[in-house]
Amino acid sequence: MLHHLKHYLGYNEFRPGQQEVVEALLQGKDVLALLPTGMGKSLCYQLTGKMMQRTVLIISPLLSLMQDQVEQMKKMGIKRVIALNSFLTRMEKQQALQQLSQYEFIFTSPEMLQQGDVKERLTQLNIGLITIDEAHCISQWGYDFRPDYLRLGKWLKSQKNIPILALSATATYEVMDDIKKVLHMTSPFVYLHNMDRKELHFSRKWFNTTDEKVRWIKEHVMQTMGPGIIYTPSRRKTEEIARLLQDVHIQAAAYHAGLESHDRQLIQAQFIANELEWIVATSAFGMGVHKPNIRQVIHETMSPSLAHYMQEAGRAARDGQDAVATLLCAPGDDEIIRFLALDDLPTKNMVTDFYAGRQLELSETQLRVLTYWYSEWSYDEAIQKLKELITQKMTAIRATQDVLYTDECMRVLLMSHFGQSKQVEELCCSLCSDAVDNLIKVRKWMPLPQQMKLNWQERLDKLLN
Amino acid sequence: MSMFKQLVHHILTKLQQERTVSSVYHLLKGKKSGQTLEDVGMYQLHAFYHLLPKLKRSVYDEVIVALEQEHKIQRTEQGYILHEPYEGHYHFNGWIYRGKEHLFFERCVLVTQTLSHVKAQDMHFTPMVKSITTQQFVKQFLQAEHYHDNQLTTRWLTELKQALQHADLTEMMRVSFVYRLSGHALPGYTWQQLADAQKMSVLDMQIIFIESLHIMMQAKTPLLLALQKDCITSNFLTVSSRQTYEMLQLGYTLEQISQQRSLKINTIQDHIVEIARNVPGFSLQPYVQADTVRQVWEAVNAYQTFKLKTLQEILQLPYFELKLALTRKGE
Ligand SMILES: Nc1ncnc2c1ncn2[C@@H]1O[C@H](COP(=O)(O)OP(=O)(O)OP(=O)(O)O)[C@@H](O)[C@H]1O
Ligand SMILES: [Mg+2]
Ligand SMILES: [Zn+2]
Repeated sequence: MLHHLKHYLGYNEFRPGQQEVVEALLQGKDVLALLPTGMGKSLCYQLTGKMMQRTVLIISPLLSLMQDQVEQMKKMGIKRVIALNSFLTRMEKQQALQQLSQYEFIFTSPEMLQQGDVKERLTQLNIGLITIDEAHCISQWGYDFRPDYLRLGKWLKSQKNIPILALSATATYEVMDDIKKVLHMTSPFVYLHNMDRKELHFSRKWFNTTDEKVRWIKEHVMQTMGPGIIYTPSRRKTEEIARLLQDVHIQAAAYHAGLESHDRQLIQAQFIANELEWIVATSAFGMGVHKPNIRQVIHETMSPSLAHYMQEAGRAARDGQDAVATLLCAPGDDEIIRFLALDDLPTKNMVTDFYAGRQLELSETQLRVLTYWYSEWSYDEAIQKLKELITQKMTAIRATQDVLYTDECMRVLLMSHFGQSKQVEELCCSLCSDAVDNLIKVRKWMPLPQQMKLNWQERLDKLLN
Repeated sequence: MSMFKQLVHHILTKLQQERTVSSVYHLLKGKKSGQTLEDVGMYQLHAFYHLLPKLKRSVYDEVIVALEQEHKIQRTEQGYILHEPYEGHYHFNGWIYRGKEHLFFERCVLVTQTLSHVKAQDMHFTPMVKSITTQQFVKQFLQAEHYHDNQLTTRWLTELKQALQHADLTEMMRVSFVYRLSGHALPGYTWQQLADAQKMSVLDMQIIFIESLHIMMQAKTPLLLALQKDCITSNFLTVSSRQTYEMLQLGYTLEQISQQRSLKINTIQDHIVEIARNVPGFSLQPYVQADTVRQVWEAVNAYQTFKLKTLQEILQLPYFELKLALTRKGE
């Protein structure tokens, strides 16, 4: 095994879980693998595909993520990779479909798989493995509901005898059950990583008002060391906080889905090149960004679910060095979290109007959800579904609130939410030990304003000469 | 004073109080309606067409309110009154680029990023530009130019430096251009960062950037020219009119063209009207005298009509001259 790992991918050893997963797949089993973010989930299908010498199909939810993965694999020297997604023009798509059999790894989106010509072409290929990345999206319990993932189940059912690999970083037991059901996985091999990471420490701070949080962030960032990410739910706030930090010469930038793609790329690159110390971001930031030395993640407001929260906090400390995730709380946060969590759900009235064929204004997700319900369920079933969904979301919200209000241990709550028990004792969380905050390094130098130091000829020469 | 406000003020001045304030918005957005296209020809506004296709109405309205508060203009029921004219000096060429200058720039970004990595002997990088079409275009371009030997890098650097020397560019434009480029371990600046460095708004920075691209795209050196492929719109004439236009440029007269192409004089005249509307700076002189144009517009104003038949009865001019005169207002 190790010999194959080295030969195909150039790594010297497996990370926890990888070998088990690959072996099970090679035996023809379905696999559900939960591995932490950034720990190498991709390797599981890369190595399996190489060893099987058959085509691997990877279904991935986010277009940007898909492209990052393709680029990363090309960087690793795996060249026969293609992303089949809606970024392609009609011409590009036709061309890609024609040449599809040349590729070892084909990335595509669940939406794409609904298209007749794509489906047809795929059945002609010698596919040895189907991977569902970010599989929690399948679940109606999951936080990023995607109807097309549900439809996927139907298609998979027709692909007999091809092993299925479902990958995720964060899933509760309910979600895992859902995944198995929707994907029709027959007695799968399940690998669960230990979510408890000793290098990631949790801290919580209460404030009287939201303004106090922002003031604290500014003081704190001036006195301590990054690199770090500050998560906040509002685009306006990312800009506001970034501006405050820039005013005191901290190299910071706002990041949200409203920026143009090139700007987002630039910010990621600057962060990775250590030109930016802090990113102030909405939840749009993070997927596909591999920066090992993030030392702090600050949540200006708790995320709408603990799955979100763990994924965001988990971006810190990938290099195995200590890092602190700080959660800021203030009265009124409950409202904000509830709003964020329920924001994208349709209301009962919307369901009624939609089924009655009345014109109405819907968000993108609402439209997606309602269209799916309409195609699959009666009105009564849809109303029932909505009730269930609201109950689930409320349960998720309550779980986040437990973490906000507990006087005991944050880590115990976080781990038990994912059905695991806490193992780390030392410097666990700020409720267990005041010393957690001491892990954050004190800033030793005062930052200087960022300037364009070079004139245009000098910068051109630096780029190219 | 914001650059964007000045630009709007400038165009309002050009429109001679004869249109609504919205027509400037449609012009900048590059609306394809007959009215906007006619405005372009009549007031010779080709430079500004389609400069800001993503411009938000609310942002535009803010500027109009500001101009009103500064007593530069005043909105009325039919249009607006210009209290104070403003004429800037611009180098835009929106009519022929129509937003494609950004495509040209993205190609420049990818070429620079790749060559910078070649130089650093590290070909593992994440392309700054995500468009697959652009990536493939640049890949083909680089392969055709044998990018692995250093000659291409030297040529590229030389061409860029030369284009950046263009006298119409300011020092600030040059520095913004090169800071927007990325290279090995040297990521470029975001719009916000560029704007902050120059202490201006993001929108102003983007407008200035577009102007610099339009200036740089005048460069006709081989590499820069190759990257401009499909960035220039030249099909604003019908195929037949374009043939007529090409023959006119070769010095053929109207009658000769009609004979050679076995087309009626009338048809050729219609072509010329279309050309007058669409080709920036096309001179009417050979076909209609300046005095006649003035007369036509006086009649339009006096009788408050654009109807060809009425105007013809009043002025007793050939339809061709009438139509031509009506294509052009500002000069
Ligand atoms: N066995 C290994 N040895 C060394 N490096 C590895 C190994 N497995 C994976 N990596 C590296 O770890 C990094 C992260 O891998 P990958 O992108 O697969 O993570 P992931 O689990 O999919 O993360 P995410 O949750 O962000 O999707 C990559 O740079 C990869 O090269
Ligand atoms: Mg992954
Ligand atoms: Zn604890």
